[in-house]
Amino acid sequence: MPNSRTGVLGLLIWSLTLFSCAAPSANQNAESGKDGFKVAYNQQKFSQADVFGILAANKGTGIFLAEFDQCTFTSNIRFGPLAHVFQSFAASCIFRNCTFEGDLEADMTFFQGQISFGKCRFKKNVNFQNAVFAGPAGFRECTFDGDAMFQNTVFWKENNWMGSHFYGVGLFQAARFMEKAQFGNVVFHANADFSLTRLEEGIAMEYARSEGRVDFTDARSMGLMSFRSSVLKQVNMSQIRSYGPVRFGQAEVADSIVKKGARFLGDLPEWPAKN
Amino acid sequence: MKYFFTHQAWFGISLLASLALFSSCDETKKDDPNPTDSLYKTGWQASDDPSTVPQSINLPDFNGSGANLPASVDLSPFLPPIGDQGQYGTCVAWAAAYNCKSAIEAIKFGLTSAQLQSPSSQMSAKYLFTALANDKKGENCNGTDFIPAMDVMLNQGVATKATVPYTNLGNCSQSSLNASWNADAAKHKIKYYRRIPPTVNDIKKALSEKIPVVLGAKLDDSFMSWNSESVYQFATSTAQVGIHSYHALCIVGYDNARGPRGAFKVVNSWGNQWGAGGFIWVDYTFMINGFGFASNPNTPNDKNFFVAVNDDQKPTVDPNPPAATGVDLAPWIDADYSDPSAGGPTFRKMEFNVYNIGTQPASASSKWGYAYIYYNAYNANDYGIVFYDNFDNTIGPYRTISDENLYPAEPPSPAYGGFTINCNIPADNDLASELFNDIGIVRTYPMPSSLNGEYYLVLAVDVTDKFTESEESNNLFYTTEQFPKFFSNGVGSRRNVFADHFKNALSKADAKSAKPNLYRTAVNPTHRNAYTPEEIIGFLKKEARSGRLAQQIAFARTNKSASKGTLKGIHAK
Repeated sequence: MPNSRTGVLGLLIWSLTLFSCAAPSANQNAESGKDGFKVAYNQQKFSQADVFGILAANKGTGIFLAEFDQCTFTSNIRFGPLAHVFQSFAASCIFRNCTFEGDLEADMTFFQGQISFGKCRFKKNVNFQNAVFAGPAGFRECTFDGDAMFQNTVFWKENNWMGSHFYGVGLFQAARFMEKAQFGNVVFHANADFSLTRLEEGIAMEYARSEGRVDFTDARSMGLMSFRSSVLKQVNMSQIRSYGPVRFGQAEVADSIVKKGARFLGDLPEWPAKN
Repeated sequence: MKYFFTHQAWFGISLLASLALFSSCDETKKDDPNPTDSLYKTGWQASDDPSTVPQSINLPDFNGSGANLPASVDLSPFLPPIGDQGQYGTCVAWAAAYNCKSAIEAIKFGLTSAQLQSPSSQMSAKYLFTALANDKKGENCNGTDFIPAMDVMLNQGVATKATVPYTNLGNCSQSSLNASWNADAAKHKIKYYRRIPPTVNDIKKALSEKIPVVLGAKLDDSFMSWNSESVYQFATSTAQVGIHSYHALCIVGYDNARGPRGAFKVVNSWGNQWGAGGFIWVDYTFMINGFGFASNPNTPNDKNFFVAVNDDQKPTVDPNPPAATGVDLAPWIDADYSDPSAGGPTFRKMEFNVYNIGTQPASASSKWGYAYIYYNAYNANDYGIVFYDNFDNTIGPYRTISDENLYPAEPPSPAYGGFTINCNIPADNDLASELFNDIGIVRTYPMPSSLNGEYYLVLAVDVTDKFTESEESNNLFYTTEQFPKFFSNGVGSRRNVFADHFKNALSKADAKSAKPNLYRTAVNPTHRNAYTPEEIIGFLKKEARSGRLAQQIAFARTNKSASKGTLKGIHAK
């Protein structure tokens, strides 16, 4: 059992290290605030870490923010104890420059706070299927080596994927973006699926690049869909309903954009020169 | 409106369902919530144990990894119009008979789309469901399983919709069957059905061979209201449909370029207003890891993907048969029994002979051989060689028998699992007469002590396919008779009867007959779905081509942990 500075923190650390072989101690900080505690880890390694420990501790102690800088998660990580049972996760979590060497599983999880991954690398699959982000969600400048699964995920606040690289497939089928989906400068090295998505404020995919297919079949967009200056291979907009403008100015799309059954109900779409 | 339900409600449903299920982490059928009445009925009871269905063994390799598979396959032109099971739990009958069986007949007989519009080309789901034994289905047409349904198609066949239209189902009791239905059904049987390994490539291999695949799936709410051509790739909540809602469907195609990871084309039986005109595209990964359901929790890797092979009644005649060599080999075993005195508890003795009932001699220079083979009753890929004796005219004087490192394909080591023989079998003669001038041969051999489970034992001649024979089905002789043997550490018995001995009950005159007999096949009234001789012979040829058979032979013959057997003549009394 690692040392702890307070009983409350001890509970958190116990929760974390319950699943941990290398117990974090030297590089962690905790401070209390009026709303609860903030804990921070720097250059830690978590083996068999289960972030649900934060939730468990949070319930009893009011921990509201956990920060992880340059940490490495050396095995599969799961937000929550059980698969396919919806769970709530109250704490905010910020991961900066972290590496996830195993799968990251967070399907059917309700994130109440901010969840942010900045410049993180996910070496295996990332699964946020059926999850709900009630607070801001950030995946900026991340690298997804495996599949990124965000099907049926709901983003209630801002979401940010800018500059991220998807080496596996990017799966966003039926995801719902309540604010503008920010995919500027992303690179899809494989296929990306946005079919059945609901883009309440549209999507910004400027300067994006795809080496595979980008599929918007049956998507609904209420805002601007901007693909300006992007370089895309194939785009499928079959059956799409777009109530806002569609802009492909200065974009390059290698194959023709499939528009079977599509309806563009906003301003006159602006297609790339080739289309 | 439909859109609103599909997409806006998913989130809400997810939350509600999850909250409702939060306290229930043990997914047993007892705590199945009472699902809301749905527009669509399902009907697969998900009680099948797919591990009891023999696994398909003759799908082409396509370069092992499947790299040479076509990029897409579409068998939907061979389907009848999209069917609608209505408010009956008859999905298994629709998937297996109406879609799958209709398609394999259409493919076999080259039916056109126009011909498939006719009920006489469509297999009747009502017949299949009615023909099921009453204890194999729910009351009032409420659900069944694949295995009993496939057994009906195997044993009785299935009538066409022209004879048994999908009307007036009543309570689907078997007592409703009438003779004219059965007479029509007998014309439309399947020869056998097989389990497909739950991998993307294996399903694609079947489809690329124009074989539709029947599928047992677990449903969620989004499936129930699917109305998109996009690819179905993940499970949502089950608040509407219930956590135990299982459905039978038929996979009729695939497309590597569909969706982010490629997708299978699946036909449903809910009319053409559901899905994409009655079809749904299911993501490759999701099909294997989520949608396809393992109904036996003890064997979670055995999912319910089945294929059926048409019983064509009239066998296909090859218009350009290969030139037969005139050799026709037929093994014959008089007895096979345990004999611990020969070397240990796993030692046995076989009294056998090999007849050449052809018109040309089986020459040792052809370097042919016979093998005693065991194979798993439910997956013949799990097989091995008990012994392998081969013929070679270069090992010494005529009638030489050697057990020493003379098999050219092997490293120099004592041949523990086989002999090399320099002897021909003249036409209309037999090995015992020619080799020993005796009436039979007795061979002692040890069974592999690691053998556990249900296996068939078969003596297969010309196992490496050196002769082109006009009749190959008589190349096999089973000593396991009507049932697979149950082995425990190499010691075999019947499942319920400790009978370890085989004693041939036929007249020896049958040995020289080319006709089928009960020892030349594992298919019999109690095991109608056992591997057929054609499958086993085809499988052995495939194994020979791939080099795996040679590896198995080499393993058996160089296995120094086994004791040596003996090969002697049996004198006439």
